[in-house]
Amino acid sequence: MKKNKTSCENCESRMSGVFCELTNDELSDISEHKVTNVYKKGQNLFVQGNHPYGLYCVSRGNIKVSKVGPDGKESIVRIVKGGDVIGHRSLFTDQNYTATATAMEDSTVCFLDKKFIMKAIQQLPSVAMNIIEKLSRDMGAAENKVSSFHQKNVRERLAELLLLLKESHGEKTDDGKIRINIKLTREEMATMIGTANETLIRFISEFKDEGLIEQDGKFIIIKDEDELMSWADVNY
Amino acid sequence: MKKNQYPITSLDPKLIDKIKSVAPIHRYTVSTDLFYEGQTPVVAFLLLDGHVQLVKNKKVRKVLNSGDLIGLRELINHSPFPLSAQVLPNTDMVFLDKSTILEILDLVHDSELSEVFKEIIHEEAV
Repeated sequence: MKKNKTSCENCESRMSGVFCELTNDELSDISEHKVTNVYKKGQNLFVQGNHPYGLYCVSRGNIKVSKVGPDGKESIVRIVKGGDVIGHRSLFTDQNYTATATAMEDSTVCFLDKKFIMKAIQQLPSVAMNIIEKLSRDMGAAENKVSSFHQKNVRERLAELLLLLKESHGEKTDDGKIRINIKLTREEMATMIGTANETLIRFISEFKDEGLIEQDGKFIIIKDEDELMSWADVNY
Repeated sequence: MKKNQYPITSLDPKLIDKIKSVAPIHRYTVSTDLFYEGQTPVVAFLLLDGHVQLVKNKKVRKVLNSGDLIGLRELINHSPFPLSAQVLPNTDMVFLDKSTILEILDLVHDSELSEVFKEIIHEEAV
């Protein structure tokens, strides 16, 4: 029994991925070689401490990349969505995975082994450039995160997180607000800004009371982006 | 090479040595799901030492022995593996990615290995 593979040419995230500039012929080579799987919510793509096999390319869904500390506490490093790649850093350093990647919802993810992706990088300059750009952005995000943790208080960090989620998962609603289209638990959000659940819940309530955000079930809706930006002290 | 009830191939020591010469050995230090039921493994796995179990409906159906190879046929044919595979800590395995398997099939490495792999790939699904 053969499975239906999502071909790269028809991938819904094609235009936002590292292979977006390739021709259909070049993409068909990748389609032929890759392994496509659906990961159910909670299933791991890879686990912290294990050896990397290759590069994962998210076609659809959301994947959380998290680290577990010596105390067993999980902290979410970033959330990866359709069009993003994961595992690229471990690929080049040849170090074991320093984080675990877990599907936050049923997600379609393609995989390319290290030998194949290294060959593609050598032969296809646009792939190499897009991966370098991705690494540079990741590095910038990591630097911002470190400085935020040192220089901003929890309220400012929460405002910044909401704006980052707006950038990655925001969808404009009919009434001009922005809905953050990802379900995150309070615990997950708290680990993303390095605070306790109770503190996060208190500041979310404050933001709601002040009319900065509102909630639609498990989704957060941004009502006043300018005010959030002034709290976050960033320019996105 | 022996066939099993499950999609596992037991390789003899000579073939294991040949595989070890083309792909590195890795030690799994943490418990990990190698792949989940119904998925295509992203690489094929050869157990050298330690504990790998095949699971279905939360029940362990089979514990692999040293020299057991899983996932090769499914990886090349892009077909689903009928069980989940879990590795326990301190297990030594060789993983074979698709590029390496294709090199072996193209006789880049060893003709005997190539023949065995072809046989596994063309076996009927269990």
